[in-house]
Amino acid sequence: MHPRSKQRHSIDLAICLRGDIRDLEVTKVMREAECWTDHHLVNSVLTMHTIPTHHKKKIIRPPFNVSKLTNISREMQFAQDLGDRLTSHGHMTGKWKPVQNPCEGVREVHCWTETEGPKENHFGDSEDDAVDEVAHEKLLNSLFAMDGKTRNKNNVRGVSAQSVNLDLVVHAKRDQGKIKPQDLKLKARDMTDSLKKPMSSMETEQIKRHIARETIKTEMTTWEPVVQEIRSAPQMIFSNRPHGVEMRDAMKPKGFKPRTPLEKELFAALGQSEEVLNPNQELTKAEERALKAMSVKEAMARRAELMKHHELLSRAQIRAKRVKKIKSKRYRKILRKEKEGAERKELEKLQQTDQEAFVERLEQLEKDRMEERLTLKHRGGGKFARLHKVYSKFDDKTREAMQDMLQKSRELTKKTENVSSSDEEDEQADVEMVQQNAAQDVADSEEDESRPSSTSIKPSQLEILKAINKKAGGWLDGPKSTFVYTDERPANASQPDESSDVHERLSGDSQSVVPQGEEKKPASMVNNHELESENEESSGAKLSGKKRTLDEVDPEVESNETAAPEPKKKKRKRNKKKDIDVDGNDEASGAKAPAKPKEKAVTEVTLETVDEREAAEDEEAEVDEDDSLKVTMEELFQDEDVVEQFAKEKAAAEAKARPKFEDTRLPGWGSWAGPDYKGEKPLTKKQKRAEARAKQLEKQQQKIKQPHVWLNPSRDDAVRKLQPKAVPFPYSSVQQYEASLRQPVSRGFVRETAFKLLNKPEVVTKLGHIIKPLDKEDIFKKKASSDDVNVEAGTLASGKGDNPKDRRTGSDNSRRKGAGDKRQNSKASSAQTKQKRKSIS
Amino acid sequence: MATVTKKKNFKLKVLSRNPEDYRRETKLDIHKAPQNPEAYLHPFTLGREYQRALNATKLERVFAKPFLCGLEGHRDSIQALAKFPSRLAHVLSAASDGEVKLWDLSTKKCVSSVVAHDGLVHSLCAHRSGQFFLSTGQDANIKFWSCSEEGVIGSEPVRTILNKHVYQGIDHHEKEDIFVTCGQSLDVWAGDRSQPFQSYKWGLDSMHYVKFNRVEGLGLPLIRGSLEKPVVHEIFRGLYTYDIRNLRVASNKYEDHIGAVMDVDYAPTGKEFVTAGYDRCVRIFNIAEGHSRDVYTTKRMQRVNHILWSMDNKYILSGSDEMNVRLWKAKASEKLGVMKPREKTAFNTIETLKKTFKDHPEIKRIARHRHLPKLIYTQKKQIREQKDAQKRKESNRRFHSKPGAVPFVAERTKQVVDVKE
Repeated sequence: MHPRSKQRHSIDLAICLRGDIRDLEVTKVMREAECWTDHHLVNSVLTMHTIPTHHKKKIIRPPFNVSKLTNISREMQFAQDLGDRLTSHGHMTGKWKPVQNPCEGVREVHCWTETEGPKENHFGDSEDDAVDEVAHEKLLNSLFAMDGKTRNKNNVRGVSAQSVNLDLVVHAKRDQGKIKPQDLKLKARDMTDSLKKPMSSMETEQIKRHIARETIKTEMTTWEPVVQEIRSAPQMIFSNRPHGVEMRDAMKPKGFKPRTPLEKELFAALGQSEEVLNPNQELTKAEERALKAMSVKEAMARRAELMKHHELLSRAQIRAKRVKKIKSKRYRKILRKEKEGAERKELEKLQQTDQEAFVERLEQLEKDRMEERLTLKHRGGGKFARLHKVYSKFDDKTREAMQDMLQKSRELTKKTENVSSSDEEDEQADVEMVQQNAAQDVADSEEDESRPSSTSIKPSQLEILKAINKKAGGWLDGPKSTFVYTDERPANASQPDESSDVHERLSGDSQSVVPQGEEKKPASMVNNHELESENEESSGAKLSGKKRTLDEVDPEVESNETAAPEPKKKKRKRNKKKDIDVDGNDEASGAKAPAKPKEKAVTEVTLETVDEREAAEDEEAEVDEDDSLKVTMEELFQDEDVVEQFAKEKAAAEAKARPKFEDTRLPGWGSWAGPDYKGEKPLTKKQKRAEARAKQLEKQQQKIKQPHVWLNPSRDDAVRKLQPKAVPFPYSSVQQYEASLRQPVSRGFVRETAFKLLNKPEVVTKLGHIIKPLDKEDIFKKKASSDDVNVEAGTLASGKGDNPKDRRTGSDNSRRKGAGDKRQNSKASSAQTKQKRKSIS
Repeated sequence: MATVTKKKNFKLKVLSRNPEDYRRETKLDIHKAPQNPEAYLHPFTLGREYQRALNATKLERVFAKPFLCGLEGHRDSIQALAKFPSRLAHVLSAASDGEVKLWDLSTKKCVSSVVAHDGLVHSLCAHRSGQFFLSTGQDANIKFWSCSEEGVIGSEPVRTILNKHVYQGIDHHEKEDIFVTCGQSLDVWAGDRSQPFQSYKWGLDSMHYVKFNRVEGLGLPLIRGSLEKPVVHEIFRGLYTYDIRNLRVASNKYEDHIGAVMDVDYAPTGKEFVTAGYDRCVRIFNIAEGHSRDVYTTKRMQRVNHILWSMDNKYILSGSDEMNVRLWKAKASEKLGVMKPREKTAFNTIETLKKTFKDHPEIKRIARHRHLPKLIYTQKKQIREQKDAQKRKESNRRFHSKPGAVPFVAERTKQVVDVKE
C-alpha cells in the first residue's frame, strides 16, 4: 500500500526463480512523480501456461436433449420408466455406480433418441481420461528411452507434470463451448513452497502481545483453585509462628565435672567407690566383679530358675487371655454369681471378725449406690437398653437381660439402712403424699418402736456409724436438726415438754428454736390453717398455697426466735415425708446424729401427734373440698355484667384500631357529566392505604369465628419495625434466614466446643507480624503433596503446626463437621422444645 | 524489709487487712456456674442476642476513633509513600519539594530526611532487604539511597541513573534484583546496568503507575492493575477491578467516592483495600462489596494523594496535600495492644453477633451511620439524585419502546468501550 495515496496496488512483490524469469514478460518500476517516497510502483506482466492436453481426441459430449421432455406424454413415459427401473433395482441407499446403469438406460431411451451422438458412458469418465494420459506419458517416455535421449519436458512453474494437480479447471458451459474469464477459477494452491508476505511490525507486535496474554491467562488460571480456597475458607490465619510443639534435637547432658572444692572433695570420696555407675557403662565395677565370680553351674541354675519363672508367667498370661475372650453368657453369669457369692461371704465374715473393715465395705457400697443414683447407669438410658428395648418384646433372653439390668439398678439404688427412698420428691405431690401415707407411716413407726432391734443394723454398728460421722466432721448432724424443726409445728402443740427439751439442746446448731409458750397454740387455729392450705392446693395453687400456710404459721413462731435463716427453713419444710420416715426409723437414722437421746425424744413424741392429727384432718378436708370446688363462673362474677362489658371494650378497641379515613368528597362535587368528564376524582395515596388497611382488618376479624375474642391488630407493629423487610442476600427463603438467626452463638446458650467453633474470627493476625505474600513454590508444592496424602488417607491435610506457613485457611474438615453436628443438635433440641410446648398447650 | 528487734514489753500492732482489698482478682475468683445449654431452657435467646448485637454495634460506633496521629514535618504536599517489605515501623514519604523522610511509627517521629531530587519526587520504593530504597523524581533521575537498620538515610545517593525522560512510577521485584519504571515507556532494569534491559511501549500513552505482582515469582510488570488490582477511573468517580484474563468486563465496581481516586493499596490479607480520594477522604472497601465499609476524614485533611496499608494489617497511612502523613487504625473501633484471651473471645463473639444481625434495620442504620463533611454529604446526595433520575429515565424509555429495544446493560460492562489487542 502506498503510504500517502493510501491506494492499493496490484503487486507488492515479484519474486521468482531464475529459471522462470522468461515468464515475466514486462516488469516496470515506476517512481512517483514528486519522489517523496522511496516506494516504487511495480508493474509486471506474467505469462501463464496451461498444460496442453496432448493431442488426445477429446470426446465431445452432446448435451442431453432435455427439451424433449416438454412433451407431456414423453415425460410421463420417462418418469414411469425411470421409476420401474429403479424399483426393480431395489434399494437406493448405495452409491451412484449401481444406480447409474438403470438411469442411463432410461436417459438413452428418452433423451438421446433424436441425436446421433455416440452412446458412451459419460458419467465419471474423468478417471479414464487421467489413466489415458498417464499411459500416454509412459508411452512417450519409453519411446524416448529407446533413442537414449532424455525427454525435454516443457514443465510450467507451479504445475506438476501430472494433470491431477491442474491449477485451472475449466467449467465451461456445454452448450456454449467457449471459456469465459469468469469461468476460470483458481484452485486453492498448496502454498508450502512459496513465500508469504512478511507481516508489518505492528501486526507482529500484536501477535506477540496476544501470545503473551495467552500465556499469562494460563498462568493465572493455575491460581484459580488457590484463590477459590482462600475465598471460601471460613477462617484465615496469618502467622508465621507455628502453633503446637516445636521439635528440637535432644540436648545431651555433659558429664558431671566437680567445680567447687566441696564437690571435688565429694567426688574424690565417692568417685573411688566401686558402686558408682560411670557414664557410658552398663554395670558398676562391683557388679562386674560379682558376675565374674559366679561359677558356671550356679549361673546355669539361676538361668533355669529364671526360665521356669518366665514360663509360668507366660502360661498364666495365655490362660488369662483365653478366659477373657470367652463369649459365653452363661459362663459369664456363673462367674458373676460366684463372685457375688464370694463377696457376700466375705462380708459376713468381716462382720464378725473385723468391724472396721466391714464398715468400710458398707461405705463403699453406699458410695456405689450414690454413684448409681447419680449416673442412672442401669436405668435404661444407656446404649444397651436402647438397643434391646425393641427386641425384648419378642426375645425372651433379651427381656431377661433387661430385667436383670433393672434389677441391678434396683439393688444398687436400694437404701441399705431403711433410709427413705428419695428426697427429690416432687414438691407438689409432697404434701398430699404425706397426708396419704401418714396413717401408714404411723403404723410403721409404731411397729418400729415395738421392736426396735428389728432393723438391719445392730446397736453395736450404730456406735461405729457414729464414729464415722465424727470422722466426716459431723455434717450429718445439720440436716437432722432441721428435720426436727420442720415437723415440730403442729406436733409440738400437744407435747410441749419434750419438744422444748429438744430445742434447748438444738439451740447450739443455730437452728430455729420454738419456745414453749408459743407452741401452746389452740388446736383449732392450726386446723384452720391446714384446711386453708388444702383448699388452695386443690384449687390449683398448690405450691404457693403451701408456702403461704407455712409462712402464716411462721411469723408467730419466729417472733421469739433468736436467729433463723429463713430460706433454709422453707426448703426443709417441704421434705415432710422424709422427715417422718427418718424419725420413724429412729434407730437407724439416729446413728447419724451424735445426740442419740434427742432423736428418740422427738420421735416418741412429736411425730405421732402430727400423724394422728393429719389423719383426722384428712377426712374432714375431703368433705370440705367437694363443696368448695363447686363455684361456677356465674357465681364468681354475679355482680358484674362481664359479657356486656367485654362487648363494649371490644367495640372501643376496634374503633381505635380502625384507620382514620374520611371520605371528604362531597356528594355531587367532582361527579360531573358532559363531554369532558373523565371519571371521579381518585383517592389520594394516603386514603388508599387507609382503605386497604381497613379492609385487611375486617378480613382478620372475620377470620376469628368466636364473638368473644378480639385480637389486637397492631400487636406486632412495634416488633415489625425492628425486623428486616426483605430476606437478605445469601438466603433464599425466610425459613433459611430465620434458621440462621435461631442458632445461638453466645456462651452459655451453646456448649463450649460449639461456642468456640461458632465464634472463630474470620481473619487472625498477630500483633507486630508482617504478613508476607503467598509463596508460589510453597503453595504448589504443598498442593501436590497434599494431593498425595488425599490419595493415601482420603482426608484433607489441614494446616497444622508442623508446617510453619505464613497463612493458613482454617478449613479443617473435621472441625467443620463438628460445627455442623452441633447445629443439628441444637436444631433437634429446638424441635424438642417445640414439641414440648405443643404438648403443654 | 524491715527487721524487728526483740525488746522487752514490746507490743507489736499488726494491721490486718482484708485480702480482698489488696489482692488482685484472678481467674480463680470467677465462680463458674454450670449451665445447661438445652434450647428449651433458654427461650429468650434470640431476643437477648439481638440486644447484645445492638449494644455491640452502638459501642462500636462509640469507640470508633480511627485517627491515631499526624506525622508533621514536610514542607510541601506529599507525593509518595512507601513501606518496607521487611520492617513494620519504618515508612518513607516524599514531598513535592524533593525531600524524602523516613518515619518511625512506634515513636511517631521522623528519623532522618534527605533532599532527594530537584523538583518533586514522583515515586518511591524500598528494596526487600530494607538496606536501600529507590526514588524517581522530576529531574529524570533514578536514585538509590542507603538506609541503615535504625532508619538513617545516607546523605548521598549510592547510585544515580540519569535518564532522558521522567519516570512516574517505580517498583522493585520481591525476590530478584530487578526493578521497573514507568513513564513514557515501561522499562525493566536489572543489576548494575545503566540502561534498561527491556522496554515496552503502548502507543503514545504515558504510564502513571507500575507494580510487580508480589506473588508471581517471575513477575511480569503490569501496568494499571494485575489479577486483583483495581483500575482507577479518575473521571467516573468509580473504581473497577478487572480480571486480567478478561478485560471486557470489570469484576467489580466500587462506588462512594465523589471525586477521583488518587491511590489504592490492598490490605496484606487481600480481603480489603483502601483508597485515597481527591474528595479529601480515605475509604476502605471490602473486595466483595460495592460500597465502602468505612470512611475516614478530618477537618483539615485536604485531598489525599497517597495511601498505604501496613504490613501487619493494623494501620493505614495517608499522605495528603496539606503536608501531613496521617496514621489511622485499619478497623476504626479496634482495641489495640495485647488482649487477654477472655477479652479476645468476647470480641469474637460480638463480631459474630454483629454479623448475624447485620440485616436488622436498627442495627444496620447504626452501623452505617457516619458523620461526613458537608461537601461530601451534599455531593453524595446530589449524585444519588442524578443517578435516580437517570434510572427513572431509562426505565421510562424502556417502558415506552418495543421490548428489547432498550436493553439492560450491566454496570460492570458500561465503562468498557473496546479492548485492543
